[in-house]
Amino acid sequence: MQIKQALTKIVGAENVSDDPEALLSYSKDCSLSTPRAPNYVARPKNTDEVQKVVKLANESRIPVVPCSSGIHFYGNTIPNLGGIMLDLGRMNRILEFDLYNKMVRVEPGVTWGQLQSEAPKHKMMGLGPLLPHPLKSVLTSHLEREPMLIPKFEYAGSMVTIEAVLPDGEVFRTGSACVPGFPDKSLAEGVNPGGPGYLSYNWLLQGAQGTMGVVTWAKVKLAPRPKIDKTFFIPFEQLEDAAQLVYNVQRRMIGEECLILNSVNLAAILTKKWPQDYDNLRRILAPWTVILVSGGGWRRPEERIEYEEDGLREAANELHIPELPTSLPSLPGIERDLPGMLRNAWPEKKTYWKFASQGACQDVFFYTTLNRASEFVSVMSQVAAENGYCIDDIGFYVQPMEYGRSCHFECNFPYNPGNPDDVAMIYNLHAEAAEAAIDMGGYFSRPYGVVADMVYDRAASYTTALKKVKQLFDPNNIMSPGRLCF
Amino acid sequence: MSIPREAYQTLQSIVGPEWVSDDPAICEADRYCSLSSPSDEQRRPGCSIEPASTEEVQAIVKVANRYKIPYVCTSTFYSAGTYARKDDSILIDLKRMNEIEIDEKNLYAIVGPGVAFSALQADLLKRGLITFVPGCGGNSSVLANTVNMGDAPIGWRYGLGYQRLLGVEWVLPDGEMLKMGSLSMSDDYFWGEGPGPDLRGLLRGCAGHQSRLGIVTKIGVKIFPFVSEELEPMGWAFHSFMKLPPNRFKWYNIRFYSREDAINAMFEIGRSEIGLVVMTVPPIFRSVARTRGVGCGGFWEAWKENGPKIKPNQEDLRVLLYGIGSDKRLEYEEKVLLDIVKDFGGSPREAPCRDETNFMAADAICANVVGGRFSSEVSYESINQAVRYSRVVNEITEKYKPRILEDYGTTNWVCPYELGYIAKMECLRMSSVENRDALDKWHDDVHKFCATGGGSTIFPEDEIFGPVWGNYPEKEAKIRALFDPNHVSAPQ
Repeated sequence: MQIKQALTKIVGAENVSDDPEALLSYSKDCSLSTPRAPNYVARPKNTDEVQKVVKLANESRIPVVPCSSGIHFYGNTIPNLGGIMLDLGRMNRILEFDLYNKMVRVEPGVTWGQLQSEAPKHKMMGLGPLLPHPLKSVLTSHLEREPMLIPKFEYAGSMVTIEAVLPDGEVFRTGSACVPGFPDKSLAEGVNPGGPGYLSYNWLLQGAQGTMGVVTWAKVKLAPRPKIDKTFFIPFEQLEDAAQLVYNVQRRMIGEECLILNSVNLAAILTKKWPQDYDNLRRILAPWTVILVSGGGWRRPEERIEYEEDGLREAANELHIPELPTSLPSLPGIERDLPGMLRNAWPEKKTYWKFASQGACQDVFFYTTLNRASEFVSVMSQVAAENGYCIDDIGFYVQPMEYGRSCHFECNFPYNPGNPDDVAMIYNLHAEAAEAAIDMGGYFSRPYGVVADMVYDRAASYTTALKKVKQLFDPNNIMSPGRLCF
Repeated sequence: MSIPREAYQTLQSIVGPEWVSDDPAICEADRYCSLSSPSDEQRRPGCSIEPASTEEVQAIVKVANRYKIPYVCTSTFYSAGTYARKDDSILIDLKRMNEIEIDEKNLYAIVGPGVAFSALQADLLKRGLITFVPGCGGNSSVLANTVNMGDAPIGWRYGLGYQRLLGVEWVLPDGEMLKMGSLSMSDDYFWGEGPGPDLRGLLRGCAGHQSRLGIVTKIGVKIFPFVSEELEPMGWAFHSFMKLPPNRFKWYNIRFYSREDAINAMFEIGRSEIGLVVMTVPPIFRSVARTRGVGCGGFWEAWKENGPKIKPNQEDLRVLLYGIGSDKRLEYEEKVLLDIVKDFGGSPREAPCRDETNFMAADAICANVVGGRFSSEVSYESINQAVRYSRVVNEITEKYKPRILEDYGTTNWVCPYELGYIAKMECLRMSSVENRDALDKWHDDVHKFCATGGGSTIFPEDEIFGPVWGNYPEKEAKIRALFDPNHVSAPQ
């Protein structure tokens, strides 16, 4: 009762609840993680209130778990040990479009739907993951290092500076945002991620799933929005061949968005009428499609597309690929629509593409190199088959990173959440697929749920050091306890 | 000999007696490193040891901890800070750990600390790939430079040092091993972050610890595609260069008569995503380059004659265009650049198609050529900050003239990276040896202004910046105490 009163004093009665029904909605997400409700939910509106709640939690030794928006996929906001759910949804302001530096500063509650509809007004676009849910938090995507569709080095390290409330309640700004007077009265504009001093707090806070502090705003990179585009859909029977084309293309530094999808995922994204279009598309689409958007850039857009197309042809000729289609069968106008789709969140009124076919979806994702991607397809398919999952239903998504130096490899297993047998099977499949991928050298840089246990059991030296650092910053282990290796 | 006999014998048993020495002559020779001026701070080590492997480094560090002997590491002796600051330290010379592995397909190299940029670059150029050659020169260690700084003008396209760091093998101050990124779970160096919170954040902020938090023994580092043509070396020492293929490269020097126009042009080049190098060129840099080989007297004569002719607000941009993958791309980039130059009233002049410092093993720190003393104020922030900051630095400099040598307001260098997302600003000032105190006071004034006025500097002084920058020294001290309980890793 005392905690509730204290929370009420901080954020106001209308923004605190211990009503079981209200708490229930925070107990689960779109993953198969075990549901667990918090004891309280508090909805702060600014950094000051966040700071007070965190101080309260630290003094009371009660867990505090931040969540930023209305949708979560990986169980990383479920309060494993109860405590205070810190719902940051009210902190949803785009604080600043910094157009000189091609950046935006956002609060945690800003969604992809919000940002991607605002950015074009400034001739910019957010550097987003593949078709994010419209309610997904922009800040969380960057904080969790989700892969971006445009594999350019220049866009790497997309989260530049951060304001965070540390577990002891200290408000700390990273990089050059730490200077006095930032953002209004300082020389610095908060674009240097390093420091302050000889540590990079940005790196320590990223990938932390709320265990190192509560981020209250972040400055992230944008990209200039191309004036015109030309989209290529290059079909392949084998993933190895698709990967080789991507190597050739990326080595030439051509294009904006570049990704590889199998027919299952491409159909799920492009289907307008379910289920008939979906089944048809899966049948007629090639097993693998390289999607490359050549962007016309800021100046002389036609000429830029022309040299990029020449480069693409040269890259394709080296592999004896005769044609570079700019359309897909049965989808008139898709070449025109797709760049816009990829630079937006998934439409709010449509069922999210990953859930459309069966109602839910379990993802397994990790990093590898492009030349190994096809090995992982075989093994993931084998594990799926052994678990009784129909391998024709697996969605695959391969995202080249940093000019093809590596790739994000993602398997999507759609399933029926209303069928307990399906759910049990997917639960096992997820664990076994992750284990198999780790055995093969797949690297889970952001492990969630059961995968975290597998990863930290193997990364012994890293785990030891990480626990020491966590103990230093959060001696009472109040920030999202039970997550990662904490 | 001041290293305890038992400890010394243990060190001999780790690396073999031929790889460790406490001979005063050898220790005196290992006292200094090349980019720092001899000072009282640099102490003669108690012994110098050359391990050949990570296991040997670990064993040495554990001995140092057992006997509480300070240690410091160096790799090429071509560094600004890795020298012993305590008497009777163990100097761990890593030059034997010079293995290179290159993954051409996936664009990364694995290097030990003894690999110099020139060695890696030579291997890469043969394969149509490149690495950075930093301003401190091709003799410096790839590993040490990437862990500590790691920037160079081609960072306009390829980013900053911290972004090139992949898997890391790190012997912590107490001798325990920490493997980061993909290396934490396998033998593969291809990915740098995590798992989970990224502990590379302990390794370096804007700059690194310079061995004050253990010893990095191997890293994966990103490399980049380049032209397949062989670059032809030309000329003789002081005037050597490599010819660049003219169908793929083009240099432009562009003069603007308003700094604002030059800066706006730079932003627009970034938005247009062209170029491999984009930077301002302070006229004094050009004068230093032109008087190479004639000694400092020759430089100052030329500078006295040419300096006063510099027009106020004159700003020169230097841009290297690169037809990555095709000649046609170079044509496109040139058209776009010339459009921008026209829009902002600049005068473009094509420069010889050759390279002296970006791809070949550059000679370092031209400032040394001009003699006397120099002090350099460096910040990494936005292009806008660079302009505002340099204006303030110029005002501060005026207070110290003529003891700080006349520079005609030209020595502030703006070198942006990542297509303009971030920029380095370097303000170089020079004095005669006897006026060093003026430079020291200038430096203090700049930092005091920076701390209160919201500027960003790369090498902050804890006493000045700590209180206004979130008490970062306290956090660093806690991290050091956590990982270096015996306070032996390069203590200050």
